[in-house]
Amino acid sequence: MKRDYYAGALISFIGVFMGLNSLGYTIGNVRNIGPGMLPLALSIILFAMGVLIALNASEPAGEGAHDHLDPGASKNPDIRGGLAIVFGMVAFVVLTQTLGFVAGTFACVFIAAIGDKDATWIGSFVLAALITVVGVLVFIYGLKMNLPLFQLQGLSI
Amino acid sequence: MMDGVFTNLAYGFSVAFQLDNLMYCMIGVLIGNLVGVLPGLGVLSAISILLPLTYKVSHVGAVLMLAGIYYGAQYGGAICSILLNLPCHPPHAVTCLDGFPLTKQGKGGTALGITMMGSFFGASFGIVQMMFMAPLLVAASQKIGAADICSLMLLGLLAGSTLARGSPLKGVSMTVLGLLLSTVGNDPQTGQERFTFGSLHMYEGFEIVAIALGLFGIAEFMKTVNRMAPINAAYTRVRFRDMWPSRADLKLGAMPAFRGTIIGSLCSLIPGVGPTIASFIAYATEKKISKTPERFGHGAIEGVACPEAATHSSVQGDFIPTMSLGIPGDAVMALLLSALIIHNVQPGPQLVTQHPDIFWGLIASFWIGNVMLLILNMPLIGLWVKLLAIPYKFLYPAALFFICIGTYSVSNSMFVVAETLAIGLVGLLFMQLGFQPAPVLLGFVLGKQFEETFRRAVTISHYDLSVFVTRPISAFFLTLCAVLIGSQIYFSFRRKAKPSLLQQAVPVGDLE
Repeated sequence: MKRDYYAGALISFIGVFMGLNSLGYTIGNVRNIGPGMLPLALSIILFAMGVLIALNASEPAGEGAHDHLDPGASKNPDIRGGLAIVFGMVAFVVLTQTLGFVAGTFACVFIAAIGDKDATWIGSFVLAALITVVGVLVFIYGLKMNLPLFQLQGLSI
Repeated sequence: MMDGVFTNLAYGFSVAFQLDNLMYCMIGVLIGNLVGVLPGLGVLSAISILLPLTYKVSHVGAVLMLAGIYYGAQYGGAICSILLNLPCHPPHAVTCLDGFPLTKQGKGGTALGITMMGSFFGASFGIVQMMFMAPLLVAASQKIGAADICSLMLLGLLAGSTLARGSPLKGVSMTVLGLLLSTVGNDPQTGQERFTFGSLHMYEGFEIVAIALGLFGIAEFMKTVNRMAPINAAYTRVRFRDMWPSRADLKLGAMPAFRGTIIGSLCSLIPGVGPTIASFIAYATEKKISKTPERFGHGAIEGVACPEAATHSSVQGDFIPTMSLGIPGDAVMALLLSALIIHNVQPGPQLVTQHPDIFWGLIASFWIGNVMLLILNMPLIGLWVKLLAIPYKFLYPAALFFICIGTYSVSNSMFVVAETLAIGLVGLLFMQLGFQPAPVLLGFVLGKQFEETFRRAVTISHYDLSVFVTRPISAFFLTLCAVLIGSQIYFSFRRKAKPSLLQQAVPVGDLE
């Protein structure tokens, strides 16, 4: 029940937010459709859908049977694994730009790998080293991507 | 007419047998088969990782490869369902019901053998259907105007969001959100920047690859990590010898495979009804007409042959509306469509005549690819079975790197990588609230075309909105939309009283 109230509120909020912003663009009329017309219409529909979701709130039933999750696992994503994935990706963005492709790739795979509850330091190290070698061969030498293998630079996005 | 089809097919083979195209087709089905076998990896993420890498490839090669991933994964997915009892790919979830009991009885090889043959038959039927149907659709589309296309898009969007998994209300919300996301960036008609909030990076709008990999890569990994069902590899010793079914098994499986094929091909003609629904309907039908329904769920060979054949014929049929009308039926087709757009190929009814190399080359490559897959999965089954044992803890960190480098290569900018991460985090929140991510992609891809077609339709009709109901074809599609909405409202009232028809027929709860 509660989940659907949050879901409806989130959808309605997005509808209101996008709707208010699209008012800033020319709405126009049928003869001259402005850039704001479609976004405004969609925002109104989205808001209405949010209200309907909340009104029809029900217990989730029969879901999850289609996928590969352990039925006995907790209902929420794993914190350790999730954070490792986020930081692995952040490491790729930051380190590739500052220290180069090798450092970025290695850190990305290594950090993500230690997020698994059965991970070992050695196993993660070997996996990260292996993927780095494959990555260098395929993307830098094979596909000739324009990324320095090693470098020392400041950060910019 | 017949002559024309075979001349075109011969031309298609001449395209598909060009060395580079043959290679891309082979890479595609290999990667597809791999993704299908490995538990925890999806077709959508595999296609989106490879999408930016195909920018430099010729447009034919790119399409053959990306399509190969899709149908290749269907062969691999069956292995995963039957031998591991893991419904990794939604179309094959229902195959677990009878596939795994057969495996436990030591008949896993037979089940796989029947599946591969049934799959090949189903796929062949689907391809033949595409060979003859698509040109007919193109001929019919000469009479179709902008208003009709607009209504058809609306029907496709509505069907895609309400008939798929989960709550229809949430499905529609996700489609509308996808449409809204597609308006972000520079409006090509007026030059107005929408929702960019002053960021130069957003001028071109969201990247399709970032949305796909954020939702089906990052969010999916974060959802799955450390919660993966344990893999029971006790029954995975299957050899080629074990796969030859006995005459009795073959007889038992032949008719169900044929019925499944028909069901799958019918399902593929309805927009929004893809392989997953086809396989469920096939299973339910087969159980219903069986003289011994009590055997289902305990290792009935029919319960494997029928849904698998349905999946494959529906997967091939899925390409028909995408390639001949430019209207994708599901998220995978939406990605394929955006691959065409990226290669400056305008999808729509004119594609078959303007780019026969893509259309007929693709059909020819289906034949080549399916034969390759049959060889890959029958004599070489031992190889794939070994891959089943690769644990998830090695897969997702490696895949994460491929996502990073794939999104970076979209425009050689780290901004897209960061964008992917952000979309992934927001996507995870939505998934936790019970939303399905696939309709977002569908809405996003169709959004720009929808807006443009709508504007054109209104302009052509001299600003008369009634054109949508006075043109018979458009009115027909809009009526179908209304029927769809009406039936959803009707079922939502009935569902409160009792479970849906499919849930009654298919004991999904038994999938453990």
